[in-house]
Amino acid sequence: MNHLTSLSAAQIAKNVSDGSLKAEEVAAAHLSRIKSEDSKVKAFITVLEEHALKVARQIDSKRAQGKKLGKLAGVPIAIKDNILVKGVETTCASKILKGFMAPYDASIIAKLKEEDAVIIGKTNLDEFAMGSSNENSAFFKTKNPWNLDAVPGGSSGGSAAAVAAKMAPLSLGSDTGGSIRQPAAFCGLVGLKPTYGQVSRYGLIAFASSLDQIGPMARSVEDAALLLSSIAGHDLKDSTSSPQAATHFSGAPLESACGLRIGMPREYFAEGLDPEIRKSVWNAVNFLKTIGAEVKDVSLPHTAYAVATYYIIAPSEAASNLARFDGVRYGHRAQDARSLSELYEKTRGEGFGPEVKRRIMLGTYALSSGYYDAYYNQAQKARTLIAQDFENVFKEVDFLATPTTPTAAFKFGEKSSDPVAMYLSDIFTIPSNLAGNASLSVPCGLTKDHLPIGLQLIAPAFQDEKLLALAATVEKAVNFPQIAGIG
Amino acid sequence: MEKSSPITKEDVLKIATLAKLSLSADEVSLYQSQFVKILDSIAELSRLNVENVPPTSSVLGIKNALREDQASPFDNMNALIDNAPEKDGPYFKVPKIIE
Repeated sequence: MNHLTSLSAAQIAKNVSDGSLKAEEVAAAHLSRIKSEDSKVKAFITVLEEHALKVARQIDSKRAQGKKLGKLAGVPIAIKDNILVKGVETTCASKILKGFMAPYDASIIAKLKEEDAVIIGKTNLDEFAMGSSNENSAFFKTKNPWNLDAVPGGSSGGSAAAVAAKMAPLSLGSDTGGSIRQPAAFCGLVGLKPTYGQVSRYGLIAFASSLDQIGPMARSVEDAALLLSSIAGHDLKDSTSSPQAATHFSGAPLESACGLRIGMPREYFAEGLDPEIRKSVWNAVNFLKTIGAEVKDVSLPHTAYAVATYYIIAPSEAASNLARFDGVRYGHRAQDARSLSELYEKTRGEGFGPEVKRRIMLGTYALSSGYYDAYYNQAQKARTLIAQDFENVFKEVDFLATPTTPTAAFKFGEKSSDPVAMYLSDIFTIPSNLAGNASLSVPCGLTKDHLPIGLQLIAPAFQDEKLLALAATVEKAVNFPQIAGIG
Repeated sequence: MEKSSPITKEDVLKIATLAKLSLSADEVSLYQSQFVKILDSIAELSRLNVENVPPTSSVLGIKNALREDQASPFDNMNALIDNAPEKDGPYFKVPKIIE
């Protein structure tokens, strides 16, 4: 393996900025890694070879002219294919958007370009980010680089696999119910769902607008913090982005955890949790104890309602957001429709895959006359209670530590025929989306089958910086091996 | 959302019409059986006491995000039209709506 593909994003940016490394060499090394490995892993829907090399050369000549380079100077980055990059096909891994060329950059993509990042490709996902395994992509299944028979997780599975297989040091994902953290856990990465409103969603194709948040995936906390620093901040083009959003995150570990109070919510350690995961999570927490943290047993009493709440709210918002895919302005259009209504129905019937249709139907049902109060309104009230659980517990503790997932990466086909079993794989990650707080997954061990285990750390809203510092502290102690199986 | 009422094929077809989705006969059967299971799995929510609990409208508590109403021209109009499956000059083409 070329050593350039093992470098951290921070190291690449530093070396490209000081001239000891050429952005073009870095891009070429990662493109060559994609050529040799992606036929096995299948992380990318689109590889931007020419574009990446051209941008890299521009960065090199910018430096040669004595200009200061941005925070991500020459760093290759893979982008989940539900985020718009101007002039590049954006599919959401759906047949209904095949051929759609993004007419503008998402706000965060414009920022990445300003910071001299090199966009290397668009990654696979569960169609419209609906799924937990990447098996719902309309195109192909991305594999887990640690074990090609296992799923990479989802929905940001392509973004996770690309970074785990060293085809890019950084990637962007989006997280609606765990879609960054769960694949990060399955692929041995750091994945952050920032506080809702911390990162602009302008140019992210919406799934469930009140839950969606874009965030970084990386092989280290330092790199995740670097990427977050490049994309975070208030954006007038996203009315839900927060004026409180910070723009700098260091990702440096804590010297000591003295005075820190860590809560272990007992609902997350109930029956059904894999014993190996329980043990790894406790090892990490015990380490924090040894450096001074106080560990407390706490309760989030409405946790049991989170999945049901989510599977009403998210499909309801999706049913509304996905109404725009009607065959008129972009993407697939059914042939031979005799009326406008038939055009809509046939286009959507042909263009959407089974899980997307299922959720549109579920959301339509939950919002329909006679059911709205019983489902949607009830769920929004339950959501208030779930958010209050966190508010209450954060009066007692500074952070929560939980497993990211109940099991390590599962095999292809294991859950794909049973939607309810698949929905339950997000049981620990969904509550943070409902509450809007900051939450991340950091690797904390390996199973005996050599699959990564993720520790989830949760902080109150807008404590993303402190959350990253705590994660960096755990990361230093765990010393997680960077050796995905295909490496 | 009392004990989830069994969902019939007619219910599935009615929801599909509301959602503007054409479904095959196989899809109708599949969604019918899966809907029963999914609604069963979320039925517990109806037993949660939410009296006097306000529904969440924004997790951040943001009510109105105001800004100056300034026009900023979009510089890539052609790209918007070029994405259309059928177009006529600067217009999207659709089947006839009014007889």
